[in-house]
Amino acid sequence: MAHLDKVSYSSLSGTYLNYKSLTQNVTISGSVSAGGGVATFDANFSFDRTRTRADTYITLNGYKVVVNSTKLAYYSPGYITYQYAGAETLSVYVFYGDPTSIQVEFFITNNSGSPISLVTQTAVVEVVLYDAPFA
Amino acid sequence: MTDLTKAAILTKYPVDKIVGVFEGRFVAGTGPYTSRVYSLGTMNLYAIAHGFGRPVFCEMQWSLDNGYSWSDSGGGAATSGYESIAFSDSTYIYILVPNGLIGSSPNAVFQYRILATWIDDYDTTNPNTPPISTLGQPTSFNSTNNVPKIYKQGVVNVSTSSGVVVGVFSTVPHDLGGYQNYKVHIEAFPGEVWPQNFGGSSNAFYFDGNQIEAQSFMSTTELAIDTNIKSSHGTRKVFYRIYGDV
Repeated sequence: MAHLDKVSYSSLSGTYLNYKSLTQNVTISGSVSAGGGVATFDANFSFDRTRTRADTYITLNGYKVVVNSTKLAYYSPGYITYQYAGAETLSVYVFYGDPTSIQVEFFITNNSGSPISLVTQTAVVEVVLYDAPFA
Repeated sequence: MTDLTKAAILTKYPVDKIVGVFEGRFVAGTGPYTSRVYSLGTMNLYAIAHGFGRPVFCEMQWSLDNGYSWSDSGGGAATSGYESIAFSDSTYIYILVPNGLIGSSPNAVFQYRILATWIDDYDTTNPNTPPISTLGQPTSFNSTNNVPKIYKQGVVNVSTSSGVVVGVFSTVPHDLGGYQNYKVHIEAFPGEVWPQNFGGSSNAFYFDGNQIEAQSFMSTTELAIDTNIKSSHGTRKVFYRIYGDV
């Protein structure tokens, strides 16, 4: 067996099996209009979600954060908000609209009175998928 | 082997131990609920006795569309903008049901699936993990499958001598390189273990000044946990797990 270290099984408790990771890159760039303008950037993952659960992460600006919940707003200077902590606010939403997909959407809102140009950078969106022992 | 309960094949790294799977449904308008009145709102909690005698980590999926689509914690399109979370104390698993849902869609059926996983270092007793039966469900043991293995886990006791709410950063180094997957749970209220949540007034799960919040960030060298805590909270626990493809 080439990968004995990847084997793990116990009859006493369940665990997450068949773990795999799906990733997509999202490029953030362009401009956002003044006075509450919004730019959106999406990643769409298609897979059969039957008897699975998923954790969703984004990696941006040197940090990876888990974003399972609908809305994530970042507050800590020096972390994810570093590039978007001024007139702009960044929120990340995860949508679970159907049994075969997960959509991750970045919303960048311009709260200033002037248009802004976004710093071009790439966010890595990762859906970590597990089989789960649901009935 | 005639007795599969004697089977045990393990690597040196532990895995998440699922000790309970709780699935069910209730009507949003009727619950029944345990209600707690806090300074920032009322929690309506659907309680499920778990029988473990100590808290467990809870990971919930929920659906408001008769099981067509399931949200993995938080909310999502399938939940019409509502947000929910599951947490536990030593007796119950609680589902926090959105007040808006109860008020505007009292006939909605709330379906839930909760995976309860064992907290190895909750206290010093570390009893054996209770066995779980998944009879009737498919069993899969295939070495080509991978499982998330816990490279590092632990508990951080957080407190502050400051009288104001501040960010208290705790860092956990790792030497795996890359951006590892992780999970963080917090003792939001004494004796209650919640998935991490954060955001103050914009946090749908924040109800009281006695509640602590946390957010976390993984770099290629460490996990940083930012906890909002003040002196009146005393000392609270923050639990972390760093996974690695090791």
